[in-house]
Amino acid sequence: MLNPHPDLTPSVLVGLGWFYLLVFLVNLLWTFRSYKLDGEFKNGVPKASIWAIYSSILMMLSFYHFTYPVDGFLVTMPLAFKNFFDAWFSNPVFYFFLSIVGLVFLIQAREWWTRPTVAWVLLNCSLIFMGLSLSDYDFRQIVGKPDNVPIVAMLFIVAFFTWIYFRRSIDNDRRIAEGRPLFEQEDNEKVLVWPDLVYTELICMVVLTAVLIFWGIALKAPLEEPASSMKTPNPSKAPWYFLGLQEMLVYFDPWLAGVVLPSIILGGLMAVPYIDFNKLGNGYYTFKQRSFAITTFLFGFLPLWVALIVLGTFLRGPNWNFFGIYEYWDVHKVEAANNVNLSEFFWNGLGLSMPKGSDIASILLRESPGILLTLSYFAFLPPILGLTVLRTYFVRMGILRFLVFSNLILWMAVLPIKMLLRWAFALKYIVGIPEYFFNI
Amino acid sequence: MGESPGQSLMPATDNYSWNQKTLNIVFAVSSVVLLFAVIVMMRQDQADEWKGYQRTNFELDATVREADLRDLKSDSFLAQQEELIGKVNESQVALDAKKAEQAALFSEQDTLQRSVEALEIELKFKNSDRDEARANYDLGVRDALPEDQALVRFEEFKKRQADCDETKTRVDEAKDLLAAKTAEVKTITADHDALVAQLEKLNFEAERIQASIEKIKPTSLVSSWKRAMMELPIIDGFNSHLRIVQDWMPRLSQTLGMAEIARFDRCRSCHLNIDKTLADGSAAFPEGHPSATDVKTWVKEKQFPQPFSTHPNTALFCTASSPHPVAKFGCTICHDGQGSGTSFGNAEHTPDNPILSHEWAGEYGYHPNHFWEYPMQPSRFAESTCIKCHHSVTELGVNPKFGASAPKVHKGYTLIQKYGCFGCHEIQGYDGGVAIGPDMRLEPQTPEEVARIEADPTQIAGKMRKVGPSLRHIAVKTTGSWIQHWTEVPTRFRPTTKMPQFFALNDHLGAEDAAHTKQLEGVELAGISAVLLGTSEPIDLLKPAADYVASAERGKQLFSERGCLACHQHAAVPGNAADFGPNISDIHLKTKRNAENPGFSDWLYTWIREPSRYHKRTKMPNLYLDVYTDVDGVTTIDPAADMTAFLLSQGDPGQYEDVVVTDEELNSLVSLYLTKSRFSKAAAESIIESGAFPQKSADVVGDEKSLASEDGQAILDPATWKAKKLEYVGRKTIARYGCYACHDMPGYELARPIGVALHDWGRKDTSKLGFEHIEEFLHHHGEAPGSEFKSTMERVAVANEKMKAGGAEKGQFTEAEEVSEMSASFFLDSIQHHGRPGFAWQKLRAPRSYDYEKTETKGYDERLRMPKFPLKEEEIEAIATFVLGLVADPPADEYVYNPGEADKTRIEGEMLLAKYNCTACHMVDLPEVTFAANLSDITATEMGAADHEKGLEMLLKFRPPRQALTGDFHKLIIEEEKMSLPVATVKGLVASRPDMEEDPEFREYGFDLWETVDFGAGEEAKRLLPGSRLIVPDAQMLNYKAGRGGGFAEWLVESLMESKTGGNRSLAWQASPPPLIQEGAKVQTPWLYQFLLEPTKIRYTTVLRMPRFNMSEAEAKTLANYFAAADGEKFPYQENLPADADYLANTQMAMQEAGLLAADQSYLHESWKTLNGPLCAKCHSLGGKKFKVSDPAKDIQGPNLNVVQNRLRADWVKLWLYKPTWITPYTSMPVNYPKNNTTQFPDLFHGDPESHVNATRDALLNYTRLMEDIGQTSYAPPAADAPKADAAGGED
Repeated sequence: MLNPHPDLTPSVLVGLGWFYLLVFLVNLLWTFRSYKLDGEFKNGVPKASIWAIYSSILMMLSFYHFTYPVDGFLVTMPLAFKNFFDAWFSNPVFYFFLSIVGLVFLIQAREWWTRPTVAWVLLNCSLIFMGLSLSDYDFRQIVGKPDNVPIVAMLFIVAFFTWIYFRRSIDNDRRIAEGRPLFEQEDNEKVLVWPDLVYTELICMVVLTAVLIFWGIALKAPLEEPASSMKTPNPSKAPWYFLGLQEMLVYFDPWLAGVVLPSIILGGLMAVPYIDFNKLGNGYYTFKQRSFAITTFLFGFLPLWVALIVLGTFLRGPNWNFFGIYEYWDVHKVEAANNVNLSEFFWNGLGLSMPKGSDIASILLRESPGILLTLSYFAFLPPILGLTVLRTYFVRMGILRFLVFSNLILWMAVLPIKMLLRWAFALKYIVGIPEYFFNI
Repeated sequence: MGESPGQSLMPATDNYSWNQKTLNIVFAVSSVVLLFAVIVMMRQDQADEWKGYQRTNFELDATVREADLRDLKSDSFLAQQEELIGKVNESQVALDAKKAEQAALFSEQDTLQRSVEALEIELKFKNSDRDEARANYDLGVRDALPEDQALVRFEEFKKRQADCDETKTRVDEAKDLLAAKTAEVKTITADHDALVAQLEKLNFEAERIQASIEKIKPTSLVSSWKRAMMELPIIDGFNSHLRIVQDWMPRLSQTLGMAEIARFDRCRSCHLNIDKTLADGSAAFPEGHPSATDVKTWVKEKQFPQPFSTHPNTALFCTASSPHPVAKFGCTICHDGQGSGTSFGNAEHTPDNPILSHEWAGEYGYHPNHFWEYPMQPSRFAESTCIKCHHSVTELGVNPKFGASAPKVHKGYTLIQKYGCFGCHEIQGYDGGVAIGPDMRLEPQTPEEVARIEADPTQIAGKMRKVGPSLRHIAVKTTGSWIQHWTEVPTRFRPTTKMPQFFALNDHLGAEDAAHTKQLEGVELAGISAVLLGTSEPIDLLKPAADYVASAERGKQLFSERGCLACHQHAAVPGNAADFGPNISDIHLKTKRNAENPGFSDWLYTWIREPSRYHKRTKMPNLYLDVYTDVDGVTTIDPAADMTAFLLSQGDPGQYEDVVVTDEELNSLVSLYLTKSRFSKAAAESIIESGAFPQKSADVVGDEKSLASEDGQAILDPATWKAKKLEYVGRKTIARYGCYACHDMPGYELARPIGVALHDWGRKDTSKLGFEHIEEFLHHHGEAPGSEFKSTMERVAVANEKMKAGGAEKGQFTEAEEVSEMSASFFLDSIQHHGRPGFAWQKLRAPRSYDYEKTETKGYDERLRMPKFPLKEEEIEAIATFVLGLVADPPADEYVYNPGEADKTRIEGEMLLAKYNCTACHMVDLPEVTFAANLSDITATEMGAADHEKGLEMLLKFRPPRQALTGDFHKLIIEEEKMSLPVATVKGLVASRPDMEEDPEFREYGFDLWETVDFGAGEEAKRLLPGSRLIVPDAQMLNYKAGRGGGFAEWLVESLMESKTGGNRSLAWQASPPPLIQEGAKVQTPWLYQFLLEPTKIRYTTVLRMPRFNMSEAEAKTLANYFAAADGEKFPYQENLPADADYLANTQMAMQEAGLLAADQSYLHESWKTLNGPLCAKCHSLGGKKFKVSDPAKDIQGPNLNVVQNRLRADWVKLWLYKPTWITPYTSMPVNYPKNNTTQFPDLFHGDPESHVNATRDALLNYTRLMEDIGQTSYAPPAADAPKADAAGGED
């Protein structure tokens, strides 16, 4: 029988062989590094020997891929793991929750994971995970799509730069605590525009152009079918960098998710220099001195932007349903999704009948709980926050800056709040006035 | 790149942060990498597959030309060339020898030549001066100069003109001198010049070929270098010889997403020779599988692989003289695919089976791209695109010029016609009056609907009749138990039925579900029969005379002779294979018998005698089974009654049990349907229990009417209530299964088709197809019980393995198996990729299998409804081919096939031939015999002394000679002698068959020719005229291709030869339906129209009559025109020359001038005498005189002659009179006016037989006039000269 969706094919095995060979080579280099720097165990064996063993396993793995036939091939992602992963991760709630946990861990355990060896182990884990997963047809379909390759790359790039940031900040924070000069002061990086800057930029340009050309040759432009109003692709996805925005459409009306929120993001980013009163942390890496700002930024960037892009790319399938990474994107999958407006909760909860009528007064009456709630959210929360948790901020910012700041924070909180409400109560809209296309 | 380690705090200094040397190296390396990237990119850009193909093709082209050149330079050519060169050299030598002597002559000629040239220059200058002077004079006139000044200018002009004239004279004189001298010189060189010209002419073709080779395969270094340069990147953009070949069809647009864009086909960039033909029109590069990959082998073996081969059908496609020239049509309008693609993959080639796909993946890196909406059609569906333009389809199956050009799609079309798919699935051929594809809609069912469509100019009425019998009066025909028995599994009663199976299709269900389903289906079957019998309308049945005693034995005889077997089969009369109507061997089982006489059925009698009384739109014709008196003049025979008796005498009526209907199942279905009709569960239960429907029946619309009572009160009688419930379920079931799609049923006239419309199914979005769990089903099931495979997947897996191992070529399959198994493999693969073809295939194989494991989660009434048709897999593929071609996307008007009047008539006529099964009785094309002709054994037809030359002339116009020899040869051994005989084909009827008791060498066939054929060409050719007998020894017979149609006639001939004519084949043919060969040239169209609507009795020799078909006037008109159109004759009206007054006057005059007619005689009157003489009247009723039987055993009565003037065409009548067997070899009509018999009517036209022929013809075609003018006449020739006068003569 010709299986139209084979998990393993000869070309996949050869490709994975190259992949593991590459992983082997970098680990070989790491072994040398470890031999030089890591020292020995108590019994005199170099710590690098662990890496040597690991590398040699990788090498054998690579050759196994090159030489073994498709039938009876052993090294694949275990089915149990795939099923477990699909069962648990094909769920936006858990995914989002995990991304928040990840962020907290990132910050709390920064001392630990920024250590080179730990980071290298983590990198290897992710590479092995990738390699094993690529033996799955459905995973390959999603990750290997030429469209999605940049996003896989982005994951590693974001991780790398986050790592750089935390490693440098920890170093500086330690220096500050010990009263030593900052790394940036100690290692004066002032250089000449020519040749140090312009020349290297030129080289970068040349290398990048070459990389893009090779990329263009290797991965052909992913053309899909001609656009048609009669038949839209399913799933119909935005460009990858907008997938976070598209994810918001699940929870918000288009005018909010598509117009208001992006505008506030842009406006808010522009406002940052005027709101920021913290003079510390200029021109050097630090976490402790700017912990609030950095945490807020990371919250907005990692779980609310990058994680949502990944979610939109890899986990949203046909009908915008959630799919596990090893799950077949079947258009017939149905997820129950019935949502209820706040007004319905409210009036039903009170045992009253919902105000009927399409005149403005009855609509406003009907939606009054949501409207009041929304207004109070933006009207009452800033003063309350200013008087309680953010008291120091209020004092140092002054009323106007604080109001702008607190409103931006509140807007940022809107997304997770709405997500939570949706998941917890199947809440559709807080204010639902479809008569005038005004839904919140 | 390493970071320089930070040593210490350091201000900006002149030291560089990076090591300059390292940076330079990095820069150099990265630049080289970039250069490499650019080179790789350009290389990728240059590595187009089509360039490789074009290079190979240039090589191929050069090889072919070199071969041509070799062929041209044969030994004789070289010898001739050498001889000529020798002669030229000799004459040159001779010329050179005389050179000195002639030098003076040449120099004189030279001097003269120069003087002529000098004078001509002088003349040119003087002419200019003259023109200037004339212009000056004209300007003076314009400026109104004083006369004297004007005169001066005029004088100046005159002077100049005179000068010119004088110079001109001198030029002419010099030219004359030169001409004389040149002639003198020429006499010396003439021989040499002639030889040189001869040599040039001989070399011309060779040099032309050489030059063309030089162009593509240059030998000179410079040219080769230039050619190589032109292939380099960038330079190749400037008119390189490697270039994309584009066909641009701006009017043949294609839809891409939301836009209509012009079609660009670049297919010919690789398929370069697709339209190349030789001078005779055959393919220049026939496709094949050469044994090696080099072009030399291809040329040697005359086999060319793809993409270098020519289109396999150049008569129809690609070439400029074909109906589809490639420059106008391109490729993708027929083949689909991505015309703009220039690589194998981008062109969207589609493999014909998954194994091929696998091979392509290896060879071309092929993978299907589902984003392109119009992938190329795999070759199995190649014909499906034909119907984009050929909306009437018929011309693709029957075509006088091209034969069956698309038999598969035509087969699909006829199958859909046969099984009536359009009853449920509308196949709409029009979009607001614009044709978008084949139109196969049901005809309007009520007069109101007809009127509404006629009133709306944008609507065109459907034409298809419902394919099943009418159930309007079914109660008189059969019983409820039979209806149930039949409907449940029709093939159980009649294995050959075309009625599909709706029930008992439960293979896809679990055992428990199947059992329950069977019970519910029982209720439905009982419901259907209750509705049918309950709504059946009464009808007046015909009855035979009360005292008539029907004879089953005679009935059998009549049954076999009167034409029933043209459409039906019956086991009691074996030997014929008609399947247009049902096999009625079993009709006695189902027919309801008369209560008082179980051996007879008034229904069957009525149906046989007057079919349209029972079923208004039946195709069954009225066979004119009128009561008649037997030849003995005493016995009254009612043929319909006899046939009825015969059919019913085959056995007792069948006993069928009613299905058992339990209240539980009945109530569950009633409840189900009531809840679907907006009744709550509780309300439905209450209705069922109490028998009280909450509304009066008058207020209810819909099927619930069955449950309601007139007064809205409860129905308390349990039997009545149960009957009501059954009727309710029956109505719901009928509506659910759409029984009315095929059957006329009272109350369902306006019901809509229940299926999905198919008019654009070929482009249906595949995501809208419900594949459900079909893969799972085919994984475990899908093959018929008894198959060697557990499941379709297993079957295909085995087939794929066999195919990979080499298929039929390596003996893994038979050829037929490979076709069928790869078909299954293709369709299964299509299912796995969610393709339309696979969906349709499985839907027709096992329609309910899509419900596999779906029934558990849906209501009983939501289950799939499509019935299973008794189709074979190859029939399914043909239907799929047709349905996939339904795309409702017609190209621009000029591309849609728009036949002219004659072709249109022919096509519509063909449809009618098929619709009414005319070809069952009538042969419309004769059998074709192919044999190895021993030319020495073939005797050319000699013109006898009795034959008229003028007749022959007419005959050759009517049946122009055709070359019998095909040009092929057949090797065989005759009498131990090896021979190679030319293969010949002739058309004619079998006259005798070999006697199998003879020795093989004496076994031979006899054929009566119906056409004029030549064996050979030129003086040695032997010509056989129609009517001559050709004897073909059995050993030399190669093929016998049956004629088109006439199966029943041939069967009847054989049968009559045994029963009636004592082995005389000609008489048997005269008693059978005649072949309609050149019918259009024979009969007048208006007569045929009348005849089709109301056939009159023409022949007395036949055992049956032309029946009256249930056809419309428009159809009769088309069919009448069809025959004329098919023969290229004029229609609908023809002139009747002999009735023309001028013609008659001229003939009269000519006759008198020739002395054949006395001055006081009238031509027409004499003609009337000729006709009324003793010859014609012997066999025909004529001129008021009835035909008289003198010897019933021998006399043959011909058709009445009074019909000739309206029925036959003048030329045909004349040719017929000259020699009837030229037209119809089996006729009994003799040659009445032999050319050599001038004595039979000596007093008429001086006994001139030629004039007798003419006169008889003219008298026949002026029959009415002569009957009026002269009336009954008898003519007897002078007794002494007319020995036949007493045979049958005139009377008073």
